[in-house]
Amino acid sequence: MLRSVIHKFYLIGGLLVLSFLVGYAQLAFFLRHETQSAARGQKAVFLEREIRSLKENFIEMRLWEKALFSQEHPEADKKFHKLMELITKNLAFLSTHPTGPDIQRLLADISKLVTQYEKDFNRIIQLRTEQRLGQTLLDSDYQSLISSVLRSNQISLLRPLFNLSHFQKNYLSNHRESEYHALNVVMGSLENRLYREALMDERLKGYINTYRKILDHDFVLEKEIQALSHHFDNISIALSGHFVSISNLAGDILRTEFNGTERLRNKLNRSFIISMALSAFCVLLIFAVMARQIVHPVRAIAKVAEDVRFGHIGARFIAKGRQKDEIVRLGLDLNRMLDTLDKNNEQLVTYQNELENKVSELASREVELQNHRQHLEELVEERTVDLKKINMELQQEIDERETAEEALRLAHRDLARKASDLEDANKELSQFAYAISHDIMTPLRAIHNYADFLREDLEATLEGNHKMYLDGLVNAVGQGQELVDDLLELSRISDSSGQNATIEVGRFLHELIDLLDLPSDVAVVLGDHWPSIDAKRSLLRQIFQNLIINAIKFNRSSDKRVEIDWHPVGQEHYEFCVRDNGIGIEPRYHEQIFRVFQRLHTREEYEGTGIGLAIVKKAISKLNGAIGIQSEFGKGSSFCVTLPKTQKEI
Amino acid sequence: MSKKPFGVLMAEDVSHDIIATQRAWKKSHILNPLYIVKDGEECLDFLHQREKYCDPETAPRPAILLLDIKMPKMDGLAVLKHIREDDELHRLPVIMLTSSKAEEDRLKSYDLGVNAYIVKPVGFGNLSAAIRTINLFWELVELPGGHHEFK
Repeated sequence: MLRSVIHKFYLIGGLLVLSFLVGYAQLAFFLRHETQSAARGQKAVFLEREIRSLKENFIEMRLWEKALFSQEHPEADKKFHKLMELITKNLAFLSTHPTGPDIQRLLADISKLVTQYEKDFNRIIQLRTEQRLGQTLLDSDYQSLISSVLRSNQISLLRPLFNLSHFQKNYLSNHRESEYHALNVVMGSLENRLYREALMDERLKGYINTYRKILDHDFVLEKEIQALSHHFDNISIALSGHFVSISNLAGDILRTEFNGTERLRNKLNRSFIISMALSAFCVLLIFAVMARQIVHPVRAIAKVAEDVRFGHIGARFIAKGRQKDEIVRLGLDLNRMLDTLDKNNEQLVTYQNELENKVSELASREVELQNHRQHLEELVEERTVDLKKINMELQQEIDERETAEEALRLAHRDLARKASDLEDANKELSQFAYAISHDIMTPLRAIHNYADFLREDLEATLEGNHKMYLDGLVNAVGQGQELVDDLLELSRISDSSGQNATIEVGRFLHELIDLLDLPSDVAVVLGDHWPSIDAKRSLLRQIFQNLIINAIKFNRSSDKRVEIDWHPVGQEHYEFCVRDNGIGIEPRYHEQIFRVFQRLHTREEYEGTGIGLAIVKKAISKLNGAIGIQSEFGKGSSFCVTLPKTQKEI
Repeated sequence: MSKKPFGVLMAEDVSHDIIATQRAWKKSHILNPLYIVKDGEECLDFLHQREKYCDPETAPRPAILLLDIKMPKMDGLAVLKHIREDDELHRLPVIMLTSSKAEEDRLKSYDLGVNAYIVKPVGFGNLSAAIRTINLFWELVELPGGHHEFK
């Protein structure tokens, strides 16, 4: 079962965990008991203290009660009631707390008694107050009687009056029954005397009657007070007894709890010592098992390895016991490995001998090779002489070719220079045309202005022919100006300034058509989707402006229509076509129309300078494009412009 | 309140154009005095009130300059450049009035800070209209620092 080392470790670990668990469980159990016991002890202490305070309060209250009856202390009443309140509160508080049944019963008794006590006490106080009031009345009645009697100046009456005063004082201080009767007798004798002396009148009789009534009432009160006092004293004594017994009970409970806690603590100490001893024993047992099952075999294997290292090749691991766990198996594997190593070692020694033989053989071969090499070097020398001859011939040929190439290069350079000269000349020509046009423009404008001045100033006096001449002059000058304008445009196309930009053709055409401000009888139809191309904006404007204007100019239809559309040509070009329903062009003129100043009509038929299409063609060639025309006379024309999508930088 | 009309200086070498402009001035009943100079150097002399224009009575500071581009000695673009770099004159409103339609002339003028660029129109009626418009515009616009001072 416990074959594997892992299993052994599991067992050991399990035992350790178990011993810890038992220890912790014990600890938890004791802690719980300890806590509960402490709580109980605390409760007992609390109860005992409450009861003691109740008892003390009661004793103090009784003191104040005495003081109250004797009226020795002015604040006795207040103190008494305060303590009474405290006691009631204490009792209420204790009754809400769980205590023993004995205490509960006693508390109930005490509560009842205290209620009775309070009731009696209040009654006594009430009666006493009433009595005191009666005494005041009695005293005042007595004073009135005496003063009335004394006014008669009867010396013989002094004696009974004195007696009355004496007995009244005695009665009021002690309230004894005998004194009450004596006072009554004295009062009777005073009454008789008064009758005898014929002093008695209605008023005196009233005083005496009132006196008697008050005295009787006082005596009745006194009797009731005495009865109540007796009852009250009994209650007090019973309460005192109860308090003593409840206090004793609380003390007993406290002692019991304390003893219980002490016992528990002792038990806990003992248990801890026992469990610690058990745990220590477990751990020691575990170590012993580990040492026997794991450490000893590992040490045996290490010993074998060390022996082998120091040269005892024959050393082997010897397994003790019957068990075959991993460590024992490791030892046996080590044995097998050592066996294999021994075998390999023997084989290696054999190989080494063979190698030594082969090395000596190789040495003899090298000597042979040395001889061969010497022979080869002679052969190479012979061949080198032949190769040098061939090389010389080749060099000669190369020289010849280089001369020819040089000549070619010179010719090429010449050609390039000529091309550049041509370009310069072309540019110069362009500039020349520009300058000329500009300079011609100035006198033309002046002539135009002067003709205008003349017409303005002479408007009223001009006759038929003169007016016609003047109009002719203005018209001719206008044509001249138009011609020069177109020439300026044409020459400006050669100007290489300005940048290529990516132009959205659709948007560009819409803007151009808006700018041209075409007559209202012309409909220009554009498709919806348009591509973008790389081009110089001014050149693109020249191309489409002239084509659109031509399409409208050479058109006699009532609803002139220009359609512009496009489609891709190959991978790198677009073709844009401008179609009209105009007069059309005969195919034989299709070449000529692109030449400068080439016209097919007189000025009277169609206006224009004959430069428009030349400008278009030049602009297209500047953009590396091409133009084609499809038209027949009377069937409208279609000019198609092919332009590359992108302009390659040269 | 009647403002004293501001003066306009015109730099123009072609006498035909001068005559045409003066006629337009008269025909449009423009009251502002028009001063003429025939080339770029003369124009700068007038503006700086030196050489033959040293008398402020006959050559007062103009409020607007109408400038031709193609002129002998010093062309209009050079004059414009000088004005814009000059501490005294750099706020002077300058209008190019030229026969050149060339794109590069127009762009260069705006780069140098011209206030307007007008191509000389064909026909005298058009020229008159242009002159009237220029005057009306500058009459309405509050010129920098009053009519006579443009520092």
